[in-house]
Amino acid sequence: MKIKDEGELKKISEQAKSMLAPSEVRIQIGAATCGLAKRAKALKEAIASEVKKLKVKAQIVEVGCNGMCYQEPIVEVIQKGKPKLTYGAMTAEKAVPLVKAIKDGTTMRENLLFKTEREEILTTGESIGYLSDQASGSLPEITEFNKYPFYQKQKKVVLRNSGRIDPMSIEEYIACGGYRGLAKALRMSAQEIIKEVTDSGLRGRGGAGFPTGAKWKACQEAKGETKYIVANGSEGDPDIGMHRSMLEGDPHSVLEGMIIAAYAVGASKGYLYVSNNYPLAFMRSKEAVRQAKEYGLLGETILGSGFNFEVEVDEGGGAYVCGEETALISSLEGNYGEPKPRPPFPAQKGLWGKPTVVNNIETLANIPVIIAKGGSWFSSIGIKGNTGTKVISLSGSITHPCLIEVPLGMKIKEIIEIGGGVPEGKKCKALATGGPSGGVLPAQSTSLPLSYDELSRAGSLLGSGITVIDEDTNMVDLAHYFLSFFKEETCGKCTTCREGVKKMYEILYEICQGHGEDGDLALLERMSQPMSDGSLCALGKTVPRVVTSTIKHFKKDYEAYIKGKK
Amino acid sequence: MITLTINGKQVNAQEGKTILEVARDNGIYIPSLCYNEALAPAGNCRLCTVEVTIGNRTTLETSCNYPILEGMVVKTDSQRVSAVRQLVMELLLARCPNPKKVKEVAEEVGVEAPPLRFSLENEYCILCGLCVRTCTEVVQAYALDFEGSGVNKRVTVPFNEASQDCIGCGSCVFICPTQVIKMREIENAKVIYPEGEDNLGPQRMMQSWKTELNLTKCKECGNPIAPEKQLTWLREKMLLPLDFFTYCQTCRTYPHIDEEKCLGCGGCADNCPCGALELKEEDDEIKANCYTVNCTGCRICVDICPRDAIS
Repeated sequence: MKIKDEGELKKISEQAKSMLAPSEVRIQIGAATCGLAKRAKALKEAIASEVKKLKVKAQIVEVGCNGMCYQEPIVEVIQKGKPKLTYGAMTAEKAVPLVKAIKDGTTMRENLLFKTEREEILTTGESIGYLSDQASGSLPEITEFNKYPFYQKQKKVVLRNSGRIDPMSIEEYIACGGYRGLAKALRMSAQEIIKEVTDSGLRGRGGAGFPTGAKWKACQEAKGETKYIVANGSEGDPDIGMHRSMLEGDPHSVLEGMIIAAYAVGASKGYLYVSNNYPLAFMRSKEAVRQAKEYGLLGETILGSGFNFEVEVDEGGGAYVCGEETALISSLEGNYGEPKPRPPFPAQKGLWGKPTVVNNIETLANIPVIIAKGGSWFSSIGIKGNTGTKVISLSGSITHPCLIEVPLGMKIKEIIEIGGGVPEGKKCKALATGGPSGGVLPAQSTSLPLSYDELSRAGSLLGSGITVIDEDTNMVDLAHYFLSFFKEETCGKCTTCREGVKKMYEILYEICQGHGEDGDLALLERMSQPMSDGSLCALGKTVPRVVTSTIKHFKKDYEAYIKGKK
Repeated sequence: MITLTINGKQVNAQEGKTILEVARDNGIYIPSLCYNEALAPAGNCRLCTVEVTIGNRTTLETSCNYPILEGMVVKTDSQRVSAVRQLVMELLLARCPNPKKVKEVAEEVGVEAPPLRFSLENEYCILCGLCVRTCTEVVQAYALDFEGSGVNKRVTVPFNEASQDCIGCGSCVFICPTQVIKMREIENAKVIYPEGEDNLGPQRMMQSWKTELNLTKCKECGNPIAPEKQLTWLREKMLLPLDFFTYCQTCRTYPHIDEEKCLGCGGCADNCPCGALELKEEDDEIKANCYTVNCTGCRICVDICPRDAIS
């Protein structure tokens, strides 16, 4: 059923809201990869069988990741007369008392984490209420979602719907203000849209931090009838799962961003490139595209405007280098995933030689909110030159590995605290903020604010993960690991990168085996600048950072290895 | 016309040219291993890296594929550039310590040997891709490409089996800077089995590509001309008559034009597929003239001449 115009969209939104706060019971189970890994399917079956047995009228829905990876599988219960209740670390056994409590109208207290009374819908300013009908029903002693320590300092923009809605239901996305940003954009001109995006200060979330508005402007101004939008969902870093969670939990947010981008630059076809590391994300993305097409949000004359746009979901081979935009384009063209020299830039000559915008999917998921609420709302979050929020995978030596979204500018120390800080008895030794490409930063860097400029100044970069490294890790071993990663992932085009990585890896291996020699560090450092200067793409350019940053901040670890002690 | 500065010298050049082309046009030498002016630039070896300043931004780029811009400032011999060249040659010497070309270019940029710490391999292929680009762009047989990725990259034919597309022209052998691509000819290839032997005639073996090609023999003297596949391919591509490659260069006879009989009608010149015949003015008379260099002895002119003036 094609949605003909904005009016119809609003109507569906109203009707669909009742799906999220229904008159009968709704039980949500976190069934993204993290939940599934913790037996969410078995839990769902247990709940379903209890519901059937006790003849409870309940909807059971699989939702995406809400970021509390350490509490998976998460179960949320929405029951009329009570606030939304979130249970963590649920098991199939606990399904029995839970469903019984629902049937009896009581509240199971075990595993209950927090309650939610009102959920904001960012793009429309409306909200969904889960209010209790009596004072006693409001469970005053249970912490409210906004005050729950894990969520208190977070600000959800990109992950606004993840964990709340069924990712396979376009109607639930619409109920949460989905495609309202698009409806507003279709009433604006291309220049107006690009101005909002530029004013927002949004920078590419893939690590390079290039101003999105400028990229769109360059493509919009490029000559040509055929233009493309490419959504980069080819996350290949070993330490993060942000793209996976986004596409498993809320693929429509990326689609909506793509459609708005296409409208702004004049593109008629889009490609959502998902790494084959994420089969569930790939499947859900394809379903989202199919549903969007069915509802007339993709295809011809979208929402009654004259605008046509088609999207294809493509699976990448899982190469890290295909996160680089020109290598991604090469891969989409059916060629080997090898970067191409720039100039010409993709905005002028990209996919099949046509003007192309390649945006990270996190960048695109921000767009509907920026259009709906305005660029200045977005730029009020964060700090100067680094506006908006950032999705971060917290990993490594951390009490609660998790996926969070925080305003830029927040001190890294505070961000680490959201994950419960370094575990008991351990001390932070180093940080990795840009995956293997970002090298390492010393522990003092936790006082830095999360920002492109600050991290770049410190010699690293702002990726999508913060890995906390404690004193049990020898930095030489870590450097060896990062180099082995690069050895697997180099595309092999440039002599400097391909041969350089091989040699650096070999030297690190020798050092780790206890056969380090006195001249090794000097040789590694001498190789670094020319390796970076002589390589075409960011992969080759950042490999040396692994070595230079670990030598700069942790020379003692190297010396211990080289001098025979460990 | 674009004005740019190279090593402090202002030069003018046409838009669309690359830094390397402009440098070479102006007598400024930039070393390279994977560049050939007949092929599209690849930027694989990284040896031609130069320092480029546009506005207030300085980056290091390969000069073979970077288009020139107005006001660009290029340095081909700065410290950063030298360091890149040195590292490239040290790395290539470690990978390919034996090929002559690698040793020559290393000496050129001032590298005697790779650091002792670099383990030595014994490759000959420097992964420049010249063979691939030659086969793709010039010959257009599309028989070669890279296989594998990263540190396992190599040049080969599909599935590492005898190629269906190779025409045995030997262009790859010619262009390879380290001469690692091998081909040879066998006068009389045979298959020997217990009950006897089969004679296959003369063959060209593209050893690096595991491909064997039968050679077409000259009708007159019986010596091999070229691989049959190559001649068929050429005939089909250029729409030549079937008996075009019947004779070898030695046995081929060339048109003799009887000037008494020649009308100067130009019929032979118009129908010659190789442009070997032309009308020439001599003593106020227009007569046919043959450039034997172009002639392949197809004898179309003999048949076409209305006066039987060509033999």
